[in-house]
Amino acid sequence: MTEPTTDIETVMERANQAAAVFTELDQAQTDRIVRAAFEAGFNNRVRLAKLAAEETGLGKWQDKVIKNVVAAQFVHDDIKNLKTVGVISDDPVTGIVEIAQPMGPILAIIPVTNPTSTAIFKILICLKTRNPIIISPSRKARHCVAETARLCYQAALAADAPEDCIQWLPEVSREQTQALMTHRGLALILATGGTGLVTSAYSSGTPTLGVGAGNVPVFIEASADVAFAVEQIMLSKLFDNGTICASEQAIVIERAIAPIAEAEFSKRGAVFLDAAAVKKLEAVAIETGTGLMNPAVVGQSATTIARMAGIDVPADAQLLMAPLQGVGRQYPLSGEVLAPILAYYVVEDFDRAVNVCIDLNFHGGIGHTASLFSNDEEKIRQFSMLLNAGRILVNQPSSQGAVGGIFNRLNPSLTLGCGTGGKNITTDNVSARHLLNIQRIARRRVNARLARFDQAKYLDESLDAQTIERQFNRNG
Amino acid sequence: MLQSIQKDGNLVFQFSAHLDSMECSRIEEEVAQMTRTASQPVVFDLTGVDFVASAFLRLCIMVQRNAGGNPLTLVNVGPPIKKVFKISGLDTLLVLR
Repeated sequence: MTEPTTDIETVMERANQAAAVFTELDQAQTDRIVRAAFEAGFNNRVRLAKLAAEETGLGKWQDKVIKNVVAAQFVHDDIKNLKTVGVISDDPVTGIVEIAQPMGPILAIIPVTNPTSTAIFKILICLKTRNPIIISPSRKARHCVAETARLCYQAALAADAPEDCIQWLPEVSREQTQALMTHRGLALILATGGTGLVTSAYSSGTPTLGVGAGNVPVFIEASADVAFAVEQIMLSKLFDNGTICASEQAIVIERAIAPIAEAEFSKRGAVFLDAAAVKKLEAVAIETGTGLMNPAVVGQSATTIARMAGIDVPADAQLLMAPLQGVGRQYPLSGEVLAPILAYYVVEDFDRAVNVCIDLNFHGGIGHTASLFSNDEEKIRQFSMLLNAGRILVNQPSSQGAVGGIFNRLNPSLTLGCGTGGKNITTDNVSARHLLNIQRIARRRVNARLARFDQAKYLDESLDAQTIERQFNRNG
Repeated sequence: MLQSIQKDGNLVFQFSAHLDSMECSRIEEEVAQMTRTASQPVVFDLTGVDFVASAFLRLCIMVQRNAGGNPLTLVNVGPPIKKVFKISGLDTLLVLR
Protein backbone atom coordinates (compact mmCIF):
# COMPACT_ATOMS: atom_id res chain seq x y z
CA MET A 1 0.00 0.00 0.00
CA THR A 2 1.45 3.35 -1.01
CA GLU A 3 1.77 6.02 1.66
CA PRO A 4 -0.58 9.00 1.53
CA THR A 5 1.01 12.10 0.08
CA THR A 6 0.21 15.79 0.03
CA ASP A 7 1.91 16.42 -3.30
CA ILE A 8 -1.01 17.23 -5.54
CA GLU A 9 0.62 16.11 -8.78
CA THR A 10 1.48 12.76 -7.21
CA VAL A 11 -2.04 12.39 -5.84
CA MET A 12 -3.53 13.04 -9.25
CA GLU A 13 -1.03 10.78 -11.03
CA ARG A 14 -1.97 7.92 -8.70
CA ALA A 15 -5.68 8.67 -9.06
CA ASN A 16 -5.47 8.62 -12.85
CA GLN A 17 -3.68 5.28 -12.80
CA ALA A 18 -6.38 3.90 -10.50
CA ALA A 19 -9.03 5.27 -12.85
CA ALA A 20 -7.40 3.50 -15.77
CA VAL A 21 -7.27 0.15 -14.00
CA PHE A 22 -10.84 0.60 -12.78
CA THR A 23 -12.10 0.58 -16.39
CA GLU A 24 -11.04 -3.07 -16.67
CA LEU A 25 -13.28 -4.29 -13.84
CA ASP A 26 -16.64 -5.93 -14.43
CA GLN A 27 -19.74 -5.59 -12.26
CA ALA A 28 -19.02 -8.63 -10.10
CA GLN A 29 -15.46 -7.52 -9.34
CA THR A 30 -16.67 -4.03 -8.58
CA ASP A 31 -19.39 -5.28 -6.25
CA ARG A 32 -16.91 -7.45 -4.36
CA ILE A 33 -14.74 -4.39 -3.72
CA VAL A 34 -17.73 -2.35 -2.57
CA ARG A 35 -18.81 -5.10 -0.21
CA ALA A 36 -15.32 -5.31 1.28
CA ALA A 37 -15.24 -1.57 1.93
CA PHE A 38 -18.77 -1.66 3.36
CA GLU A 39 -17.84 -4.42 5.78
CA ALA A 40 -14.71 -2.57 6.87
CA GLY A 41 -16.70 0.58 7.58
CA PHE A 42 -19.51 -1.29 9.24
CA ASN A 43 -17.33 -3.51 11.41
CA ASN A 44 -15.50 -0.43 12.70
CA ARG A 45 -18.65 1.68 13.15
CA VAL A 46 -18.28 2.07 16.91
CA ARG A 47 -14.55 2.74 17.00
CA LEU A 48 -14.81 5.28 14.18
CA ALA A 49 -17.77 7.00 15.85
CA LYS A 50 -15.84 7.33 19.09
CA LEU A 51 -12.80 8.64 17.22
CA ALA A 52 -14.97 11.23 15.46
CA ALA A 53 -16.67 12.42 18.65
CA GLU A 54 -13.33 12.58 20.47
CA GLU A 55 -11.45 14.44 17.75
CA THR A 56 -14.15 16.93 16.76
CA GLY A 57 -15.73 17.47 20.19
CA LEU A 58 -19.10 17.52 18.46
CA GLY A 59 -22.22 15.45 19.02
CA LYS A 60 -22.66 12.07 20.68
CA TRP A 61 -20.65 8.98 19.73
CA GLN A 62 -23.72 6.75 20.04
CA ASP A 63 -25.52 8.78 17.38
CA LYS A 64 -22.43 8.84 15.22
CA VAL A 65 -22.58 5.03 15.28
CA ILE A 66 -26.06 5.26 13.75
CA LYS A 67 -24.73 7.65 11.10
CA ASN A 68 -21.97 5.15 10.30
CA VAL A 69 -24.58 2.40 10.04
CA VAL A 70 -26.63 4.47 7.59
CA ALA A 71 -23.52 5.32 5.58
CA ALA A 72 -22.34 1.72 5.45
CA GLN A 73 -25.21 -0.76 5.75
CA PHE A 74 -28.09 1.31 4.38
CA VAL A 75 -26.11 2.86 1.55
CA HIS A 76 -24.66 -0.52 0.57
CA ASP A 77 -28.11 -2.08 0.66
CA ASP A 78 -29.41 0.72 -1.55
CA ILE A 79 -26.70 0.49 -4.21
CA LYS A 80 -25.66 -3.16 -4.16
CA ASN A 81 -28.01 -4.23 -6.97
CA LEU A 82 -27.51 -1.11 -9.07
CA LYS A 83 -25.93 -1.76 -12.48
CA THR A 84 -22.95 0.55 -12.77
CA VAL A 85 -20.70 -1.25 -15.23
CA GLY A 86 -21.16 -1.69 -18.96
CA VAL A 87 -24.60 -2.02 -20.53
CA ILE A 88 -27.17 -1.01 -17.94
CA SER A 89 -30.23 -0.92 -20.20
CA ASP A 90 -31.19 -2.01 -23.71
CA ASP A 91 -34.56 -1.01 -25.12
CA PRO A 92 -35.31 -2.74 -28.43
CA VAL A 93 -38.33 -0.49 -29.05
CA THR A 94 -36.45 2.80 -28.88
CA GLY A 95 -33.16 1.30 -29.97
CA ILE A 96 -31.41 3.05 -27.11
CA VAL A 97 -28.69 1.18 -25.26
CA GLU A 98 -27.24 2.79 -22.14
CA ILE A 99 -23.68 2.15 -21.07
CA ALA A 100 -22.37 3.23 -17.68
CA GLN A 101 -18.86 4.64 -17.66
CA PRO A 102 -16.91 5.93 -14.69
CA MET A 103 -16.31 9.67 -14.45
CA GLY A 104 -12.70 9.64 -13.24
CA PRO A 105 -11.01 10.88 -10.06
CA ILE A 106 -13.44 12.45 -7.59
CA LEU A 107 -12.48 14.86 -4.86
CA ALA A 108 -14.59 14.23 -1.75
CA ILE A 109 -14.84 17.07 0.74
CA ILE A 110 -15.70 15.80 4.21
CA PRO A 111 -17.33 18.07 6.82
CA VAL A 112 -16.51 18.18 10.52
CA THR A 113 -20.12 17.50 11.50
CA ASN A 114 -20.44 14.02 9.97
CA PRO A 115 -16.85 13.01 9.20
CA THR A 116 -16.57 9.23 9.34
CA SER A 117 -20.07 8.58 8.02
CA THR A 118 -19.65 10.95 5.06
CA ALA A 119 -16.29 9.35 4.28
CA ILE A 120 -17.75 5.83 4.30
CA PHE A 121 -20.69 6.97 2.18
CA LYS A 122 -18.55 8.67 -0.44
CA ILE A 123 -16.07 5.79 -0.58
CA LEU A 124 -18.88 3.31 -1.26
CA ILE A 125 -20.56 5.33 -4.01
CA CYS A 126 -17.22 6.09 -5.68
CA LEU A 127 -16.07 2.48 -5.62
CA LYS A 128 -19.44 1.30 -6.90
CA THR A 129 -19.03 3.55 -9.92
CA ARG A 130 -15.33 2.70 -10.41
CA ASN A 131 -14.18 6.22 -9.67
CA PRO A 132 -11.01 6.79 -7.62
CA ILE A 133 -11.72 8.95 -4.58
CA ILE A 134 -9.45 11.58 -3.07
CA ILE A 135 -10.62 12.53 0.39
CA SER A 136 -10.09 16.00 1.76
CA PRO A 137 -11.38 16.16 5.33
CA SER A 138 -12.07 19.13 7.54
CA ARG A 139 -8.90 19.96 9.45
CA LYS A 140 -10.73 19.27 12.70
CA ALA A 141 -11.59 15.71 11.63
CA ARG A 142 -8.56 14.63 9.66
CA HIS A 143 -7.45 11.76 11.92
CA CYS A 144 -10.79 9.98 12.16
CA VAL A 145 -11.37 10.41 8.43
CA ALA A 146 -7.86 9.13 7.63
CA GLU A 147 -8.52 6.08 9.75
CA THR A 148 -11.85 5.47 8.01
CA ALA A 149 -10.22 5.78 4.59
CA ARG A 150 -7.31 3.56 5.59
CA LEU A 151 -9.60 0.76 6.82
CA CYS A 152 -11.79 0.87 3.72
CA TYR A 153 -8.77 1.05 1.42
CA GLN A 154 -7.09 -1.96 3.01
CA ALA A 155 -10.28 -3.96 2.66
CA ALA A 156 -10.76 -2.81 -0.94
CA LEU A 157 -7.19 -3.77 -1.83
CA ALA A 158 -7.72 -7.20 -0.33
CA ALA A 159 -10.68 -7.53 -2.71
CA ASP A 160 -8.39 -6.69 -5.68
CA ALA A 161 -9.26 -3.03 -6.02
CA PRO A 162 -6.88 -0.85 -8.06
CA GLU A 163 -4.04 0.64 -6.06
CA ASP A 164 -4.73 4.20 -4.89
CA CYS A 165 -8.44 3.91 -5.61
CA ILE A 166 -8.88 5.59 -2.21
CA GLN A 167 -6.51 8.39 -1.26
CA TRP A 168 -6.71 10.83 1.59
CA LEU A 169 -4.81 13.96 2.38
CA PRO A 170 -3.12 13.59 5.74
CA GLU A 171 -2.50 17.32 6.16
CA VAL A 172 -4.89 19.65 4.45
CA SER A 173 -4.22 23.23 3.57
CA ARG A 174 -6.65 25.52 1.83
CA GLU A 175 -4.16 25.93 -1.00
CA GLN A 176 -3.89 22.18 -1.53
CA THR A 177 -7.63 21.77 -1.64
CA GLN A 178 -7.81 24.64 -4.08
CA ALA A 179 -5.06 23.14 -6.25
CA LEU A 180 -6.87 19.81 -6.34
CA MET A 181 -10.19 21.41 -7.16
CA THR A 182 -8.77 23.15 -10.20
CA HIS A 183 -6.57 20.26 -11.37
CA ARG A 184 -7.24 19.35 -14.99
CA GLY A 185 -7.26 15.63 -14.18
CA LEU A 186 -10.06 15.89 -11.65
CA ALA A 187 -13.45 14.73 -12.92
CA LEU A 188 -15.83 15.83 -10.18
CA ILE A 189 -16.03 17.37 -6.74
CA LEU A 190 -18.42 15.97 -4.15
CA ALA A 191 -18.64 19.05 -1.97
CA THR A 192 -20.33 18.53 1.37
CA GLY A 193 -19.66 21.39 3.74
CA GLY A 194 -20.21 25.06 4.40
CA THR A 195 -21.35 27.60 1.84
CA GLY A 196 -17.85 29.07 1.34
CA LEU A 197 -16.34 25.74 0.54
CA VAL A 198 -19.14 24.71 -1.79
CA THR A 199 -18.95 28.05 -3.62
CA SER A 200 -15.22 27.65 -3.98
CA ALA A 201 -15.77 24.17 -5.47
CA TYR A 202 -18.26 25.56 -7.96
CA SER A 203 -15.86 28.34 -8.88
CA SER A 204 -13.07 25.88 -9.65
CA GLY A 205 -14.44 25.04 -13.08
CA THR A 206 -14.61 21.34 -12.20
CA PRO A 207 -18.12 19.82 -12.24
CA THR A 208 -19.42 19.76 -8.69
CA LEU A 209 -22.20 18.06 -6.82
CA GLY A 210 -22.69 20.33 -3.85
CA VAL A 211 -25.09 20.92 -1.03
CA GLY A 212 -26.95 24.00 0.14
CA ALA A 213 -27.55 25.51 3.55
CA GLY A 214 -30.58 24.38 5.49
CA ASN A 215 -33.09 26.20 7.63
CA VAL A 216 -35.71 23.54 8.15
CA PRO A 217 -39.18 24.72 9.16
CA VAL A 218 -41.45 22.24 10.92
CA PHE A 219 -45.16 22.89 10.75
CA ILE A 220 -47.33 21.08 13.29
CA GLU A 221 -50.70 21.36 11.59
CA ALA A 222 -54.03 21.22 13.45
CA SER A 223 -54.81 17.63 12.41
CA ALA A 224 -51.44 16.29 13.64
CA ASP A 225 -50.97 13.88 16.51
CA VAL A 226 -49.24 16.50 18.62
CA ALA A 227 -47.62 14.22 21.20
CA PHE A 228 -46.22 12.04 18.43
CA ALA A 229 -44.99 15.10 16.54
CA VAL A 230 -43.13 16.45 19.56
CA GLU A 231 -41.61 13.06 20.31
CA GLN A 232 -40.34 12.78 16.71
CA ILE A 233 -38.98 16.31 16.69
CA MET A 234 -37.07 15.73 19.93
CA LEU A 235 -35.73 12.43 18.58
CA SER A 236 -34.45 14.29 15.53
CA LYS A 237 -33.23 17.57 16.97
CA LEU A 238 -31.29 15.89 19.78
CA PHE A 239 -29.73 13.36 17.41
CA ASP A 240 -25.97 13.96 17.53
CA ASN A 241 -26.81 17.30 19.18
CA GLY A 242 -28.39 18.64 16.01
CA THR A 243 -25.38 18.40 13.68
CA ILE A 244 -27.32 17.13 10.65
CA CYS A 245 -28.09 19.98 8.26
CA ALA A 246 -31.61 18.61 7.79
CA SER A 247 -32.39 18.91 11.49
CA GLU A 248 -35.37 21.00 12.52
CA GLN A 249 -34.66 24.71 13.00
CA ALA A 250 -38.04 26.21 13.79
CA ILE A 251 -41.40 24.96 15.01
CA VAL A 252 -44.48 26.64 13.56
CA ILE A 253 -47.73 25.66 15.25
CA GLU A 254 -51.36 26.70 15.15
CA ARG A 255 -52.51 28.44 18.34
CA ALA A 256 -55.32 25.97 19.04
CA ILE A 257 -52.88 23.10 19.62
CA ALA A 258 -49.89 25.09 20.93
CA PRO A 259 -50.60 24.47 24.66
CA ILE A 260 -50.59 20.70 24.08
CA ALA A 261 -47.31 20.91 22.18
CA GLU A 262 -45.72 23.13 24.82
CA ALA A 263 -46.69 20.68 27.57
CA GLU A 264 -45.28 17.79 25.52
CA PHE A 265 -42.04 19.63 24.80
CA SER A 266 -41.63 20.58 28.47
CA LYS A 267 -42.36 17.02 29.59
CA ARG A 268 -39.47 15.86 27.39
CA GLY A 269 -36.92 18.32 28.68
CA ALA A 270 -37.37 21.29 26.35
CA VAL A 271 -37.01 24.65 28.07
CA PHE A 272 -39.03 27.62 26.78
CA LEU A 273 -36.94 30.75 27.15
CA ASP A 274 -38.21 34.20 28.07
CA ALA A 275 -37.30 37.27 26.00
CA ALA A 276 -34.23 38.10 28.10
CA ALA A 277 -32.88 34.56 27.81
CA VAL A 278 -33.50 34.57 24.05
CA LYS A 279 -31.31 37.70 23.80
CA LYS A 280 -28.53 35.99 25.76
CA LEU A 281 -28.80 32.90 23.60
CA GLU A 282 -28.65 34.94 20.39
CA ALA A 283 -25.43 36.52 21.60
CA VAL A 284 -23.61 33.17 21.84
CA ALA A 285 -25.36 31.19 19.12
CA ILE A 286 -25.13 33.71 16.30
CA GLU A 287 -22.12 35.73 15.12
CA THR A 288 -23.03 39.40 14.97
CA GLY A 289 -21.10 40.28 11.82
CA THR A 290 -22.23 37.47 9.57
CA GLY A 291 -25.56 36.59 11.17
CA LEU A 292 -24.49 32.95 10.86
CA MET A 293 -24.26 30.30 13.56
CA ASN A 294 -21.29 30.42 15.89
CA PRO A 295 -19.19 27.25 15.34
CA ALA A 296 -18.58 27.11 19.11
CA VAL A 297 -22.18 25.99 19.77
CA VAL A 298 -22.41 23.49 16.91
CA GLY A 299 -23.00 19.98 18.18
CA GLN A 300 -22.95 21.01 21.84
CA SER A 301 -25.58 19.98 24.38
CA ALA A 302 -28.38 22.29 25.54
CA THR A 303 -26.87 22.61 29.02
CA THR A 304 -23.44 23.47 27.65
CA ILE A 305 -24.90 26.16 25.40
CA ALA A 306 -27.05 27.52 28.24
CA ARG A 307 -23.95 27.75 30.41
CA MET A 308 -22.10 29.60 27.63
CA ALA A 309 -25.02 32.02 27.38
CA GLY A 310 -25.40 32.49 31.13
CA ILE A 311 -28.94 31.10 31.14
CA ASP A 312 -30.20 29.07 34.09
CA VAL A 313 -31.74 25.81 32.95
CA PRO A 314 -32.39 22.52 34.77
CA ALA A 315 -29.49 20.07 34.74
CA ASP A 316 -31.52 17.68 32.58
CA ALA A 317 -32.50 20.31 29.98
CA GLN A 318 -32.44 18.78 26.49
CA LEU A 319 -33.53 21.54 24.14
CA LEU A 320 -33.69 25.34 24.18
CA MET A 321 -36.89 26.79 22.72
CA ALA A 322 -36.79 30.41 21.59
CA PRO A 323 -40.23 31.96 20.99
CA LEU A 324 -39.84 34.50 18.18
CA GLN A 325 -42.15 37.04 16.55
CA GLY A 326 -40.60 37.17 13.11
CA VAL A 327 -38.07 35.86 10.60
CA GLY A 328 -34.93 37.57 9.29
CA ARG A 329 -31.66 39.14 10.38
CA GLN A 330 -33.43 41.12 13.12
CA TYR A 331 -34.43 37.74 14.64
CA PRO A 332 -31.03 36.03 14.74
CA LEU A 333 -32.32 32.66 15.93
CA SER A 334 -34.61 32.39 12.92
CA GLY A 335 -31.58 31.17 10.95
CA GLU A 336 -29.83 27.82 10.97
CA VAL A 337 -28.09 26.63 14.14
CA LEU A 338 -26.79 23.05 14.21
CA ALA A 339 -27.36 22.60 17.93
CA PRO A 340 -30.28 21.76 20.26
CA ILE A 341 -31.93 25.15 19.76
CA LEU A 342 -35.32 25.67 18.12
CA ALA A 343 -37.10 28.86 17.12
CA TYR A 344 -40.78 28.68 18.07
CA TYR A 345 -43.71 30.41 16.36
CA VAL A 346 -47.37 30.29 17.39
CA VAL A 347 -49.75 31.47 14.64
CA GLU A 348 -53.49 31.72 14.18
CA ASP A 349 -54.21 29.42 11.27
CA PHE A 350 -52.94 27.30 8.39
CA ASP A 351 -52.31 30.17 5.97
CA ARG A 352 -50.32 32.18 8.49
CA ALA A 353 -48.33 29.09 9.44
CA VAL A 354 -47.43 28.40 5.82
CA ASN A 355 -46.43 32.04 5.38
CA VAL A 356 -44.00 31.78 8.31
CA CYS A 357 -42.62 28.54 6.84
CA ILE A 358 -42.12 30.30 3.48
CA ASP A 359 -40.25 33.10 5.27
CA LEU A 360 -38.03 30.56 7.07
CA ASN A 361 -37.52 28.70 3.81
CA PHE A 362 -36.32 31.87 2.10
CA HIS A 363 -34.19 32.84 5.08
CA GLY A 364 -31.25 30.63 4.19
CA GLY A 365 -32.90 27.28 3.56
CA ILE A 366 -34.12 27.34 -0.03
CA GLY A 367 -34.21 23.93 -1.64
CA HIS A 368 -33.12 21.93 1.39
CA THR A 369 -35.75 20.29 3.56
CA ALA A 370 -39.12 21.10 5.11
CA SER A 371 -41.06 19.08 7.64
CA LEU A 372 -44.76 18.75 8.31
CA PHE A 373 -46.84 16.88 10.85
CA SER A 374 -50.38 16.50 9.56
CA ASN A 375 -53.08 13.93 8.89
CA ASP A 376 -54.86 16.04 6.31
CA GLU A 377 -53.85 15.02 2.79
CA GLU A 378 -55.09 18.26 1.23
CA LYS A 379 -53.05 20.36 3.68
CA ILE A 380 -49.98 18.19 3.05
CA ARG A 381 -50.34 18.78 -0.67
CA GLN A 382 -50.85 22.54 -0.29
CA PHE A 383 -47.86 22.88 2.03
CA SER A 384 -45.67 20.87 -0.33
CA MET A 385 -46.63 22.95 -3.36
CA LEU A 386 -45.73 26.19 -1.60
CA LEU A 387 -42.38 25.32 -0.02
CA ASN A 388 -39.16 25.17 -2.00
CA ALA A 389 -37.54 22.05 -0.57
CA GLY A 390 -35.91 19.01 -2.12
CA ARG A 391 -37.34 16.89 0.66
CA ILE A 392 -40.71 17.48 2.30
CA LEU A 393 -40.90 15.07 5.18
CA VAL A 394 -44.29 14.14 6.54
CA ASN A 395 -44.80 12.77 10.07
CA GLN A 396 -41.19 11.80 10.71
CA PRO A 397 -38.03 13.16 12.30
CA SER A 398 -36.35 15.39 9.77
CA SER A 399 -32.67 14.62 10.55
CA GLN A 400 -33.09 10.90 10.08
CA GLY A 401 -35.84 11.33 7.50
CA ALA A 402 -33.82 13.48 5.11
CA VAL A 403 -30.85 11.11 4.98
CA GLY A 404 -33.21 8.40 3.79
CA GLY A 405 -33.61 4.70 4.31
CA ILE A 406 -34.87 4.79 7.90
CA PHE A 407 -38.26 6.50 7.90
CA ASN A 408 -38.89 6.59 4.13
CA ARG A 409 -37.57 5.23 0.86
CA LEU A 410 -35.40 8.18 -0.11
CA ASN A 411 -31.93 7.07 -1.18
CA PRO A 412 -29.71 6.91 1.91
CA SER A 413 -27.20 9.73 1.52
CA LEU A 414 -24.94 12.08 3.44
CA THR A 415 -25.03 14.61 0.59
CA LEU A 416 -28.43 16.21 0.17
CA GLY A 417 -28.95 18.15 -3.05
CA CYS A 418 -30.88 21.40 -2.72
CA GLY A 419 -31.69 22.21 -6.33
CA THR A 420 -30.97 25.48 -7.99
CA GLY A 421 -32.36 27.37 -4.98
CA GLY A 422 -29.42 25.99 -3.02
CA LYS A 423 -27.15 26.50 -6.06
CA ASN A 424 -27.08 22.76 -6.74
CA ILE A 425 -27.78 20.85 -9.94
CA THR A 426 -30.12 18.36 -8.23
CA THR A 427 -32.64 18.11 -5.41
CA ASP A 428 -31.85 14.39 -5.09
CA ASN A 429 -30.21 12.61 -2.23
CA VAL A 430 -26.90 12.19 -4.04
CA SER A 431 -25.89 8.57 -4.60
CA ALA A 432 -23.98 6.25 -6.93
CA ARG A 433 -26.24 6.95 -9.91
CA HIS A 434 -25.02 10.56 -9.94
CA LEU A 435 -21.40 9.47 -10.41
CA LEU A 436 -21.69 7.87 -13.82
CA ASN A 437 -21.30 9.07 -17.35
CA ILE A 438 -24.12 7.39 -19.24
CA GLN A 439 -23.35 6.78 -22.91
CA ARG A 440 -26.24 6.07 -25.24
CA ILE A 441 -26.08 4.00 -28.38
CA ALA A 442 -28.87 5.31 -30.58
CA ARG A 443 -29.80 2.78 -33.28
CA ARG A 444 -31.57 3.88 -36.43
CA ARG A 445 -35.30 4.20 -35.79
CA VAL A 446 -36.78 6.46 -38.44
CA ASN A 447 -39.54 8.78 -37.29
CA ALA A 448 -42.47 7.18 -39.12
CA ARG A 449 -44.57 10.33 -39.04
CA LEU A 450 -41.80 12.37 -40.63
CA ALA A 451 -41.18 9.66 -43.23
CA ARG A 452 -44.73 9.82 -44.55
CA PHE A 453 -45.12 13.57 -44.17
CA ASP A 454 -44.64 15.72 -47.25
CA GLN A 455 -41.72 17.82 -46.04
CA ALA A 456 -42.19 20.31 -48.87
CA LYS A 457 -45.02 21.71 -46.74
CA TYR A 458 -42.45 23.17 -44.35
CA LEU A 459 -41.50 25.53 -47.17
CA ASP A 460 -45.04 26.81 -47.59
CA GLU A 461 -45.31 29.95 -45.41
CA SER A 462 -49.10 29.94 -45.62
CA LEU A 463 -49.31 26.78 -43.46
CA ASP A 464 -49.38 27.58 -39.74
CA ALA A 465 -48.28 25.43 -36.83
CA GLN A 466 -51.69 23.93 -36.16
CA THR A 467 -52.19 22.91 -39.80
CA ILE A 468 -48.76 21.31 -40.06
CA GLU A 469 -49.19 19.58 -36.72
CA ARG A 470 -52.55 18.13 -37.79
CA GLN A 471 -51.12 16.74 -40.99
CA PHE A 472 -47.95 15.51 -39.31
CA ASN A 473 -49.93 13.54 -36.73
CA ARG A 474 -52.55 12.22 -39.11
CA ASN A 475 -53.24 8.50 -38.91
CA GLY A 476 -53.22 6.52 -42.14
CA MET B 1 -63.94 44.75 -8.26
CA LEU B 2 -61.81 47.55 -6.83
CA GLN B 3 -62.78 49.18 -3.55
CA SER B 4 -60.94 51.78 -1.55
CA ILE B 5 -61.62 52.87 2.01
CA GLN B 6 -60.01 55.03 4.65
CA LYS B 7 -59.04 52.91 7.63
CA ASP B 8 -56.81 53.72 10.63
CA GLY B 9 -55.22 56.60 8.75
CA ASN B 10 -54.44 54.47 5.70
CA LEU B 11 -55.83 54.36 2.20
CA VAL B 12 -56.83 50.72 1.87
CA PHE B 13 -57.56 49.03 -1.46
CA GLN B 14 -59.46 45.78 -1.80
CA PHE B 15 -59.39 43.77 -5.00
CA SER B 16 -61.19 41.03 -6.84
CA ALA B 17 -59.84 37.50 -6.41
CA HIS B 18 -58.31 37.13 -9.86
CA LEU B 19 -55.89 39.92 -10.67
CA ASP B 20 -55.07 38.93 -14.24
CA SER B 21 -53.75 41.29 -16.92
CA MET B 22 -57.20 42.42 -17.99
CA GLU B 23 -58.35 43.22 -14.47
CA CYS B 24 -55.09 45.04 -13.72
CA SER B 25 -55.34 47.19 -16.84
CA ARG B 26 -58.91 48.02 -15.79
CA ILE B 27 -57.94 49.22 -12.30
CA GLU B 28 -54.44 50.51 -12.98
CA GLU B 29 -55.28 54.10 -13.83
CA GLU B 30 -57.69 54.51 -10.94
CA VAL B 31 -55.23 53.09 -8.41
CA ALA B 32 -52.41 55.19 -9.83
CA GLN B 33 -54.42 58.38 -9.68
CA MET B 34 -55.68 57.80 -6.12
CA THR B 35 -52.29 56.83 -4.75
CA ARG B 36 -50.47 59.69 -6.49
CA THR B 37 -52.59 62.24 -4.67
CA ALA B 38 -52.86 60.31 -1.37
CA SER B 39 -51.08 61.84 1.62
CA GLN B 40 -51.61 58.81 3.86
CA PRO B 41 -49.90 55.38 3.62
CA VAL B 42 -51.33 52.99 1.05
CA VAL B 43 -52.36 49.47 1.98
CA PHE B 44 -53.34 46.71 -0.44
CA ASP B 45 -55.62 44.23 1.30
CA LEU B 46 -55.24 40.96 -0.62
CA THR B 47 -57.92 39.03 1.24
CA GLY B 48 -59.29 36.40 -1.13
CA VAL B 49 -56.83 37.16 -3.92
CA ASP B 50 -55.80 33.87 -5.55
CA PHE B 51 -53.91 35.04 -8.64
CA VAL B 52 -51.74 38.02 -9.52
CA ALA B 53 -50.44 38.70 -13.02
CA SER B 54 -47.17 40.46 -13.82
CA ALA B 55 -49.23 43.60 -14.27
CA PHE B 56 -50.13 43.57 -10.59
CA LEU B 57 -46.47 43.33 -9.56
CA ARG B 58 -45.81 46.29 -11.86
CA LEU B 59 -48.70 48.15 -10.25
CA CYS B 60 -47.24 47.52 -6.79
CA ILE B 61 -43.85 48.86 -7.91
CA MET B 62 -45.46 51.95 -9.43
CA VAL B 63 -47.50 52.68 -6.29
CA GLN B 64 -44.41 52.15 -4.13
CA ARG B 65 -42.45 54.65 -6.29
CA ASN B 66 -45.24 57.18 -6.05
CA ALA B 67 -45.71 56.62 -2.34
CA GLY B 68 -43.46 59.50 -1.32
CA GLY B 69 -41.61 57.73 1.47
CA ASN B 70 -44.47 55.65 2.83
CA PRO B 71 -43.84 52.03 1.93
CA LEU B 72 -46.68 50.19 0.24
CA THR B 73 -48.02 47.61 2.66
CA LEU B 74 -49.68 44.36 1.58
CA VAL B 75 -51.89 42.67 4.16
CA ASN B 76 -53.76 39.36 4.32
CA VAL B 77 -51.47 37.84 1.73
CA GLY B 78 -52.29 34.16 1.20
CA PRO B 79 -49.42 31.66 0.91
CA PRO B 80 -49.53 31.25 -2.90
CA ILE B 81 -49.36 35.01 -3.39
CA LYS B 82 -46.73 35.37 -0.68
CA LYS B 83 -44.59 32.89 -2.60
CA VAL B 84 -44.89 35.08 -5.72
CA PHE B 85 -43.63 38.12 -3.82
CA LYS B 86 -40.79 36.14 -2.20
CA ILE B 87 -39.57 34.65 -5.48
CA SER B 88 -39.80 37.98 -7.30
CA GLY B 89 -37.84 39.64 -4.49
CA LEU B 90 -40.53 42.30 -4.09
CA ASP B 91 -40.90 41.33 -0.43
CA THR B 92 -37.74 43.34 0.20
CA LEU B 93 -39.18 46.45 -1.47
CA LEU B 94 -42.68 46.30 -0.03
CA VAL B 95 -44.01 45.50 3.42
CA LEU B 96 -45.87 42.17 3.66
CA ARG B 97 -47.95 41.59 6.75
